[in-house]
Amino acid sequence: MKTIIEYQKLFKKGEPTPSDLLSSCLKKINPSLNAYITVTEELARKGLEKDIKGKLNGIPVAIKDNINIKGVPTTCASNVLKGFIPPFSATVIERIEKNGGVFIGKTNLDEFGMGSSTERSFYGPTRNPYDRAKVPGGSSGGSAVAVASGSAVISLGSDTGGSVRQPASYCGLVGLKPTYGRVSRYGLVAFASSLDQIGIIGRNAEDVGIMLEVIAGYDPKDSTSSKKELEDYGNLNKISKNIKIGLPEEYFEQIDDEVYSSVMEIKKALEKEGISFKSVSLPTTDYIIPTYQVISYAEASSNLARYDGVRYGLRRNGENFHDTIRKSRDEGFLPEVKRRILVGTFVLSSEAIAEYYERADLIRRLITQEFNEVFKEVDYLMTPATPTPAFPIGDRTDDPIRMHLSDRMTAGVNLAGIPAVVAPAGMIGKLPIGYQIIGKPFEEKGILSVVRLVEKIAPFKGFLKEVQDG
Amino acid sequence: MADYKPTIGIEVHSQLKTATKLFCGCPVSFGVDANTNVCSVCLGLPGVLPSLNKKAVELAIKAGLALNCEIHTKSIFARKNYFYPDLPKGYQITQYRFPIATSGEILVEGKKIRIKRVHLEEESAKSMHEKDCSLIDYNRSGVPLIEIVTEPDIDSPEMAVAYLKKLQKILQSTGISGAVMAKGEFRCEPNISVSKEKGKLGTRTEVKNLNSFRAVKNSLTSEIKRQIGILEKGGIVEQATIHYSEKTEKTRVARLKEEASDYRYFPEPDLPPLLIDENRIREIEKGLEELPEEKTERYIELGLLGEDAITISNSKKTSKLFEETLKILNEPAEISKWLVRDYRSLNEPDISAEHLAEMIEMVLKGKISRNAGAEVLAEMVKTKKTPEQIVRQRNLSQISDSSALEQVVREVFEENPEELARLKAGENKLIGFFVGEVMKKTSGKADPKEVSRIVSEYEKKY
Amino acid sequence: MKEIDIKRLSRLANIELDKKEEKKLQEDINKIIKHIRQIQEVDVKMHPDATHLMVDHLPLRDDKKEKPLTVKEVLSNAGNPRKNHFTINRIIDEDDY
Repeated sequence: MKTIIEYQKLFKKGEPTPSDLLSSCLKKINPSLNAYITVTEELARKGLEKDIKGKLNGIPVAIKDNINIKGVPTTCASNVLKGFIPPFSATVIERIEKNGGVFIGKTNLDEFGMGSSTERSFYGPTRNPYDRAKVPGGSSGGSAVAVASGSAVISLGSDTGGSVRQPASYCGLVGLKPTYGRVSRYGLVAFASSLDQIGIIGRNAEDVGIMLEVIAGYDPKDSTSSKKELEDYGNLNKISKNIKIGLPEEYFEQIDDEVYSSVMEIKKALEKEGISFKSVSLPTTDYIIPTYQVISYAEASSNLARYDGVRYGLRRNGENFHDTIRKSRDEGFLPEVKRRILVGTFVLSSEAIAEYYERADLIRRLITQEFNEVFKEVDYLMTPATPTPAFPIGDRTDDPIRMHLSDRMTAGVNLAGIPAVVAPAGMIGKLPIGYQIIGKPFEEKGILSVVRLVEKIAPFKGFLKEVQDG
Repeated sequence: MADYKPTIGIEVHSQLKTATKLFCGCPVSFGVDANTNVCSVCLGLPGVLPSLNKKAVELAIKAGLALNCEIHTKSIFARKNYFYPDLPKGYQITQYRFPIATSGEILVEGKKIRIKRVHLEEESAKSMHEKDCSLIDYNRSGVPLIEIVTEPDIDSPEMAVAYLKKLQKILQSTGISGAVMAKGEFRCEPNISVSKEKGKLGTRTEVKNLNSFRAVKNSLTSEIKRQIGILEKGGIVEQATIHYSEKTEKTRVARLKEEASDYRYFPEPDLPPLLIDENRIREIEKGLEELPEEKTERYIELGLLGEDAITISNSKKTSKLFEETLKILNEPAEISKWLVRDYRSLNEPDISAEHLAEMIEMVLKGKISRNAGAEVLAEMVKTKKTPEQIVRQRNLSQISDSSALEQVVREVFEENPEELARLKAGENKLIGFFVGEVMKKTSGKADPKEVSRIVSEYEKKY
Repeated sequence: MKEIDIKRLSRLANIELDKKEEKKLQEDINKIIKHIRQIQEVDVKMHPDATHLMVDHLPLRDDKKEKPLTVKEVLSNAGNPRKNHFTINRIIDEDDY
């Protein structure tokens, strides 16, 4: 398995050439996994011709299909965006292009990012390459599968409540959700504006760090993006052994025994290096899921109001304007999205807003405050990434509550705006399972460095053949 | 009919004079081809985000200051959620609980109209209607607006028009908005209720689709009649939207407000709070100029004659000089007289307020005569010398010492016994003759007022 | 707990639902709301002001013109544009009366 830096060294020798790499990636696209909605071979080849020197020169990147690439359809896995081709690219896309990266395709997701399994897509479910009967996780399942199955070296996803980290856990990959505001959201189709961040899924911490160097940084088009200076996120080999890592007890409840032991293995390995661990408590953990639901559904109900068929997308004509919109939206959205829009509409309605939306905002601040307090005692937190490994396709599809179960470990991070990375802890039978490192705002380099250290002292042995050969 | 009092409040939407839209860099222009000033942001495409226009913020602050509002150093944008063809995102970005300015006031025909709030929001697109469908042009989508809301302090259709005219003038003269109603840059939505009971307000209706001041006056007059008509018959006025037709000049109930639309306002997550520096507010305040009418009103209150107040306030230079001189010498009426006559006839030259004040004070204290003062002023302009220098050099000091003057008066009485006899007989106009003689004898240096007084006193004695 | 008025919500959200959808959604939404109501238990008297926002004030954009999209680009995703406009069902205008 090669890293981005290793590929670039090999490109110089011509073995392989970037064109060879692209061809081999394209060959590895397995339609039965259904990771891609649109494969963009021509676009990638054109990109290679330009041969732009940069940190990602010649590297095939998969892009979740809720991030706009100019001239390429963006579907968000929804029928409501039927035929929509954006006339502009997301800021992160422009930055990748400037650094020589090429786009291999747009990957499948849960419609508009709403789901944790990539089953709720208009284009059908994506399958986990480790076990075709299992979900790859969601909503960035397609991006995770693209990398796990070797058809992309690295990919972008989006993370609103765990949508990059949970698939990373289920597919044995490194998945990073940066600090809120670290990466521009301009060009990412909004689901929940105050929670969404573009995330990175890759095979190792260094690759993810290099991608972060490329895409991160202030964007005047995104008023919520931060002007904080960037760091060399790809340079991860120095880490102080004096760090203290906290283990929040609430995150270790309600998880499978094997998940627990996998994470403990990582802890033991780090302790051998001299890193100390401490038990901490985050009492508001139980309220993470309902708080996340209220806020994300509310913002989603507003963000998705623009899908009315007037300027783009599916239109079903009715008797009058409102009728046309109502029919278009009814046909265009799948049930999960409708559910969330309606609940979101409810929690913002005048009779409910104080009890629900405004209250949830207060709890969100409490959750954030709790993290702030805990980070006074420790430098990072370590938790399981998900309570179980990948679950079977169809298992939770129709249960709106159970679908959120894995969000308990991940959504708190989005509510507080802090960065977190998931990396493989090991295998449980045929399936990978991840651990999570959470950091203070703008501590991406720190948390990636912890992962880098683990890669050195307890390397993951579960990569699929397609990746190892790549 | 007479005992029903109308209560009117008005909401105005005014387009700000910026080069670009509120949340994107698309140009703002009037009369261009459809959909030629549109970008991904103002079209509300998936994935776009708003980016706030600095000039729009400054103009909004300016508007708040011009209306004597409190400008809030922290204000927050919010989403107003509803569906309409001209609303590309399915929500409008506006301000709700924390607007940029509140609690202002302006004087309209002597009455104080309180301004409840001024806030920023984006304009919607424009629709045109064909037989079988409606057409939408997004050029206007995203244009910056300020919304100005009054308290229900207006009590007649005439006053409503006066308020709108004054507001329009303020916005135009300060460069905040072109505020041309015909161009859609200045839209008014009055709401009105009538009531017989003091302190109790009737049910409000809102009037829409007003495109001229005439329409405002007619529609409100018509609506007052309609509401009174209902109440006199013992009925209840229902909350409604009232539509005015230019063609028929009549109002009509367009829509009963059954279920008020639930706009589900919440803070705009794509825009952090707008923080405004106090210094910036002060800077903008400095750039604001008072309207001539306001100056006039202020001057009249200070005691100036109406005509003089108007004359002075209509000249920026003269009014500036007036106010500066007033700071030094608190004699508004006196100063105004000098400015209106002598200063104006000299064509508003450059002179310092200090010197002007000095000269006027000398006249007031009797040190020099009024005529001498005029001479001093003329010389001040020509030579830039100080009044004191001029008076000394040209020996313009007035004699106001009464004993010295008494001496001269006695002399003149003795030299003109005939006239004195006639004066004593009752020909009072001869006082002027004697004053003139004294002035001749003193080479014009006597204080004529004082001389006149002495003459009137003494003639009795002789 | 008062039943959620799904008809009103579907009207506000402008999504038409057939009877079957309505019934299923009513059940689902009742379930979700019941679950969400947990947040009523939390003691928020402290009014914490910690925030997730990493940018505490709004950056301002200079009032400089930027190139808009071409009309072709603007209408590129429109269903059936006419006269360089987007089309929708005829809106009943107030002046028709």
